[in-house]
Amino acid sequence: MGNNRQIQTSEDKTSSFSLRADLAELKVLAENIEKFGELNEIPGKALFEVNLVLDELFTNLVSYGCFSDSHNFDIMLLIEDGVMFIEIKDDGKPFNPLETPEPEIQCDCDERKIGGLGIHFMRKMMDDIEYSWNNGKNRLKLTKNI
Amino acid sequence: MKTEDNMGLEVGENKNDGVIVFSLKGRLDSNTSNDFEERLLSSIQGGENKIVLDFENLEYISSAGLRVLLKAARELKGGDGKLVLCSLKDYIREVFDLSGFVSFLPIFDTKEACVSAF
Repeated sequence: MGNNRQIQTSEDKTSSFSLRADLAELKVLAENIEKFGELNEIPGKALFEVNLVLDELFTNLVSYGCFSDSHNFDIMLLIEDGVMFIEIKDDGKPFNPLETPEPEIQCDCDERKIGGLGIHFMRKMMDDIEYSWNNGKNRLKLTKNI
Repeated sequence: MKTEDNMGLEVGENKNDGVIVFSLKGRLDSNTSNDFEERLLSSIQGGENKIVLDFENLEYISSAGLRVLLKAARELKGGDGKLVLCSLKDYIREVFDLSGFVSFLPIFDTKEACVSAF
């Protein structure tokens, strides 16, 4: 990674962007995370996990959480002393992922369900998760030790 | 720099001695999973029942991708068919561990090991 290494500036340590409620925006998500990872030399596995968790949350919103097709999914990334902080705000239906039940993952493929797996990944891959609902928005704060 | 194309999925296909190998390159997510599902399920409906998915160049998978594999595994279960995976990157393997999919999808280190599993 990073043949053309630059001197890091504090600007590199944060990234904010917004996604429209359209699955095609997953590309924008992946590109932004990749760029942030390169600038901050975040290991590939950790970066994959961040991308996966945000993808699952975003895909949930687009698939189930919209009142209309005009929603936004606002993401802020910040890295500080080896800890990555992620904040996600969306104006979709109120949804507290911490209240979703754990999926049954031990059963045979005939009984397996996919629902809930994305939230399961979030619980396993993030070190801290905080949810709040205010001003008509879902707000999720994730912490990941890099 | 990643180009637009790197965000998609390319699927190669190779059949030898009754074993069909799909080689995936890129990302298996909610943008690309529908096309791949159609391709995989139509090959099963067409009679293929020894299927290898080569993940050597798979860079990314989400639960939308897992859903496709689950459907295919169910389709095959009625007959004597089998779906096996090989060459997963460590972080992709973790998704299979965490999801419990390892309990019904055999995973091998190499394509050769997959092929000899049939």
